Amino acid sequence: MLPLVRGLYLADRVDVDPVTRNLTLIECFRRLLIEHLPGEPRPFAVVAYLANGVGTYQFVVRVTRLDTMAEVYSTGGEVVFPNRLEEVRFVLRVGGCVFPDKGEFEVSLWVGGELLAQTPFRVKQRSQKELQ
Amino acid sequence: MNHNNCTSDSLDSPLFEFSDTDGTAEVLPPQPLTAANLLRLMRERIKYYGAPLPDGYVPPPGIDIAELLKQVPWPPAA
Repeated sequence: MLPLVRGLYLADRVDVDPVTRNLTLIECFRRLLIEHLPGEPRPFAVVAYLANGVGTYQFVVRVTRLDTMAEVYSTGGEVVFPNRLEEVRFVLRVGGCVFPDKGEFEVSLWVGGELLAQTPFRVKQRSQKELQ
Repeated sequence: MNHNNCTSDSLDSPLFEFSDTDGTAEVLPPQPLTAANLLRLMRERIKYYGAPLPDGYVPPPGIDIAELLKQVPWPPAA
């Protein structure tokens, strides 16, 4: 049985409280401003809340541009669900995604080879005015 | 109002943190585009670009793009 995704978010930063382990998502966004294109933005985070899984799953996070359907970034790893009732929090910090151009992109989360969630966002080049 | 007795934590909730810069997440090579994934992207693309495919799009080998186009709501009904 595949886990369910209760939410998939993009955020500039995610803070994890060292004592309480509470998550704080900072600056959740739908538009990513980049100084130079092609280029890398500042690191950002992909956050998901997963439930109803049991055991170990391979995950893949993909970034795809919607104008050409080309995949521009892909990374993977492993998450472990202790039992079905436990909600698992997933944080991926992305620092090496190069965006080839402005436009519409999507982040998709795949678990066990199946698409669980996707969220679109827009990449825009930061204007000179915004740079100042 | 005194909130001193209010506390919260997530100590019982598993948290998995990954980063592509410290090696906890593995950067993967691009995967070949499957027909199912292309169909999903075509449907998504209509929302933003008004058409399921870019002009001159060449599908990956083995994908029947005409068959996929029958499955997307395109062109929009008059």
